[in-house]
Amino acid sequence: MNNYILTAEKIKMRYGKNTILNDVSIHVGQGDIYGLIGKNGSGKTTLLRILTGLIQDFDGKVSIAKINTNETRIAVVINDPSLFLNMSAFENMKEQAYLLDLHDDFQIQEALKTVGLTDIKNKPVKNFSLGMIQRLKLAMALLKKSDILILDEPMNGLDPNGIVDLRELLLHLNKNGMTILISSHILSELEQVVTRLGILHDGKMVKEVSTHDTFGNGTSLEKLYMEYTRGGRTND
Amino acid sequence: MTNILRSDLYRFVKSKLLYGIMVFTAIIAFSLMMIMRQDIRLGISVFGNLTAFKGIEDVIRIGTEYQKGLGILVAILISVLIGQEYQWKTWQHKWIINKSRTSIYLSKAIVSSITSAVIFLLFELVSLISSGQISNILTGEFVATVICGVAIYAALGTVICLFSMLIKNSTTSTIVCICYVLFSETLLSIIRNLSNFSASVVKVVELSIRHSIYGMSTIISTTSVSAGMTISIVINSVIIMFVTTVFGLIVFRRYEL
Repeated sequence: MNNYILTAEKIKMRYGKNTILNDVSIHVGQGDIYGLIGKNGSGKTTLLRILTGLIQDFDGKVSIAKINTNETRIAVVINDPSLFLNMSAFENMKEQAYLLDLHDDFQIQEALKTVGLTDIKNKPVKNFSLGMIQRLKLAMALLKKSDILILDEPMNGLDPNGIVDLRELLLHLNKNGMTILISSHILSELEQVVTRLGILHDGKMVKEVSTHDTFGNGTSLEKLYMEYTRGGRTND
Repeated sequence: MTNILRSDLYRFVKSKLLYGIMVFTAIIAFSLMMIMRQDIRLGISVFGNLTAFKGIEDVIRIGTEYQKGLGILVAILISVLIGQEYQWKTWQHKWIINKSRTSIYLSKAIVSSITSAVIFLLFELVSLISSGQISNILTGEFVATVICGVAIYAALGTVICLFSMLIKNSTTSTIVCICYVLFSETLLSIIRNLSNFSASVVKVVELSIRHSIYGMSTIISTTSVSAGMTISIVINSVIIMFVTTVFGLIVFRRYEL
């Protein structure tokens, strides 16, 4: 029996005359680290925005399963700035905490500690590097316990240490029961964490596969990606 | 709704621009009052009739005329703070956390009204305290004028909120809001002149102008405010706030954030 927590079926999305997504289906199982890969303009961000509810004008169906009859909570790290650059990291977190009905600063301190921003929490975000902004957005996503974490290109701007830290954090969160959907260009990094992946190419999902069945017999993620995007193979 | 309101209030309170404008407002009120106490004659004209100060009561009354300066500060403050949400795409967090557009808009309208009224109250309070004649000025009429002013500024806040929420660009919305404040008198004069072709149209236009934010502000700054007038102005302001907010909500709900 499939234990999918997040599914989208036959998603179609157009911007004017351009078809951005064409009959895209995605199946994210509970406990998965799902990697969504594809070149620039393949529709990854649009698909993630549809899954998070930021885009509502599309055809198709998105379903989020309940966990033990409770509503499934989704946390999102989006690619836009989505931060008040004139406020400090702590103030951004506090503003978000009010939205989430959290009144205790403890969760804020914990989330900042998790991403390693405690020392600079009072600095204005406009002075942050891209990597620090990514960490702050991740901290905001971790403010309240969530069942699914969706990250759009979270490794953009991160230095090698930041990428390793993020990888370890994602594995830790996943170990504690969080389902993760991540889009990225950095195939070598994704390969180390994902348990399932989807390859988007020109607005179509050309392959959705479990990494356990695919890797380990000489097939790398890069090889698989090239095979399906350049070799003309399509999903079975 | 309370969560988003608390979050918006927190952001407004943490804004340096708010404190800058509050300090500037206080300095202007204090300076004008000090100039009048030195018996120095002064006048203000911003794209409209010259307001000449003859006594300290005139400084207190000038606060009610939003187009003479205080409205510009309110327009800048609200349009910049709301415009930042578009500039930095921070709506997305609210939307993802399942805050409805109705609550997003309502929260902004409430915070804008409160901010606008607070700026006006600050001006009046500093003017009153620095006048040196608190017991003389603090009459029933002054209280009625302040109540009318609060209602008018709250309505002004919702109108500026409407422009800021519907114009997706921060700079453009600031320019439009400042133009609305500065040119409302000119615009209404043009409408008045254009309506001259029919007596009944003139009547309707005159009635509308009297009940507009600009009309009410002119009335309370030039005539003595009675209890009946206060009730009428408060009710009228509430109607403007309601209509503006409902219109804004209908349009904002269709927006792609």
